[in-house]
Amino acid sequence: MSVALSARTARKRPVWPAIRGWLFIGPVVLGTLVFNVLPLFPTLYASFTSWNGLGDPQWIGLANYEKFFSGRDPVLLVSLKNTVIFTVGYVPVAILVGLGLALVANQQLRGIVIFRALFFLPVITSVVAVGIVWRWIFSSPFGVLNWALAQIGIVGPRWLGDPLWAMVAVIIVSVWQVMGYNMVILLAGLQGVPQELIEAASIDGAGRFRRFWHVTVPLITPTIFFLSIIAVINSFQVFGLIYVMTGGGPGTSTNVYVYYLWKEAFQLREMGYAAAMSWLLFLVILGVTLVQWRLGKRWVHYS
Amino acid sequence: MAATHQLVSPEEAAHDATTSRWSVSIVAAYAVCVLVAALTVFPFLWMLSTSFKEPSEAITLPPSWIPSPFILDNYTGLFTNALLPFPLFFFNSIKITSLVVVGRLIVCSLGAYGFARLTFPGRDAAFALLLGSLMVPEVVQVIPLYTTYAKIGWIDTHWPLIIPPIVANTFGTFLLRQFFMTIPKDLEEAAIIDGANHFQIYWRIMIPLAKPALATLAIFTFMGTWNDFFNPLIYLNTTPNFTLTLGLAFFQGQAATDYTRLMAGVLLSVIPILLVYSRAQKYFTQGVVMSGIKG
Repeated sequence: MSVALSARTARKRPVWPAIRGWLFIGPVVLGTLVFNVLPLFPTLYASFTSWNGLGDPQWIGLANYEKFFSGRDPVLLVSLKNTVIFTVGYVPVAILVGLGLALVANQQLRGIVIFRALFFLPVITSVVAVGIVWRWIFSSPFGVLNWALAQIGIVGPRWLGDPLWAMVAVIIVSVWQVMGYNMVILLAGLQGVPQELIEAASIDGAGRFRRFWHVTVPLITPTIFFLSIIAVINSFQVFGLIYVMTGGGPGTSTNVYVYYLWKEAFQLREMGYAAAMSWLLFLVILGVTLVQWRLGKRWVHYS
Repeated sequence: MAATHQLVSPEEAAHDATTSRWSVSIVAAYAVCVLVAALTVFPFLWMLSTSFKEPSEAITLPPSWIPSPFILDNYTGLFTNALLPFPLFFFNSIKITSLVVVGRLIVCSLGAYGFARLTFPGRDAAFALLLGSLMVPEVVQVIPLYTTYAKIGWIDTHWPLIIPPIVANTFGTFLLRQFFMTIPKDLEEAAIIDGANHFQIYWRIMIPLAKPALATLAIFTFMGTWNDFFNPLIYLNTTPNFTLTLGLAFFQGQAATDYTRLMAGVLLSVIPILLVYSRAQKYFTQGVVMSGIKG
């Protein structure tokens, strides 16, 4: 039946291949257009309005952007500062820990498969589960972490109850959750390093450290680079863990950008301002991707 | 510093492992692995232990590993709480996740076939559109989607958690397209000579050959949907509609210090993920590497 159909339509050459092609790709292209791409434009429009999301938006021109850039919104400034602190604390540590684990795993250890499976457990667990469990571990009078610290003579901080340490706790948990992922990606990078190069360097008299620094590292820079882009973009958007572990607190000490955005949009119903915030985030993410891509050309070695 | 013993090339490590089995670097590598594994597993074991304790024992110092008395109340309590219909959360998560997995496999594999095997006007532009859409963060879409869903009556229903994840998944389409392109064309050419059309080739040849890639996408989708928190939080309002992640977060909001029951709930929510992962670990790790390397 369908064979007959294609034979009949084969004569009308120009039309049928197009229809056939779009029958295959139509659903995903239309879906992406409707749910991922087109919403950009109403968001842009909303960013020039005052809007509670229900009635008609009131056009207010650039007022939302003025509020953003004038520094008149103290919570925004705090959320920007917190996001930077989180990013600076999280990205390098997450990558270094992942690299360390990958180097360990790259030695042909027996049973490494089991270790790798275990390192991956946090990656596959939801932020809600992770956040709730760590809140219990960090909890202040009865938490097991401070008890363990006390055993070695350290008086633990109040962690999630302390403005400084709450952020440290969130960073620790984020690194804990992502290290298995970074390890697997970096391990794949390490395994792509040609053995001949390392042997050649060895014959030339390079020691372990020099071989690592001058042969292995340059060859895995594309992987490190890829992971840093992902890590930076993800840390600009950290939300779930903050929601579950700290609710942005204590005070505003862990109130990060997307958490504030969500509050403005869905708790305070300041949809216009939130739309402006989300468009600026989009531009920043686009910018980071492009800048890192350009910088990457300079210091990344693509073989 | 921990890095010194790690600066070992694989061939050297293999050499070490065979000649001097207890060389310093191997012992140190095992020590690091054991330490990190302990750090990764500890929260899960601590959750298991707490979930069988009485609330009073959970907050007794020094902490104990083996609950005494060993009670099941934290679990049974989850099934009898009318305000927190835990079995319903479970059912909702299973329903949404399985629909998204099946739907996404169909939509993404159809799209992937079109992009990998057919030539037609508009294909490359459509592909560029999908590529570009990867750069748009979820937060930028959520405000107009929310207000549109409000107009068409989708708020507090499961539709926003089912339909968009099925029809708008570029990641899965790229993953499958990449895989389809590695399949040699000989079989298809033979099938075309035998009079098969492209839909038959897609269904009878490509889908069976692409099972590993489909398994990878299925597992990624299962985990992403089961663990999703942001979308349920935005679109669901009433407890009977909650998914597990949202239900647990809500539970924590209601009873932040009810740790024994919270741990029981969290543990139950993690079990399906652990089961799937233990069965299909190979596909999952492969998928991570594939998506990671390809960017």
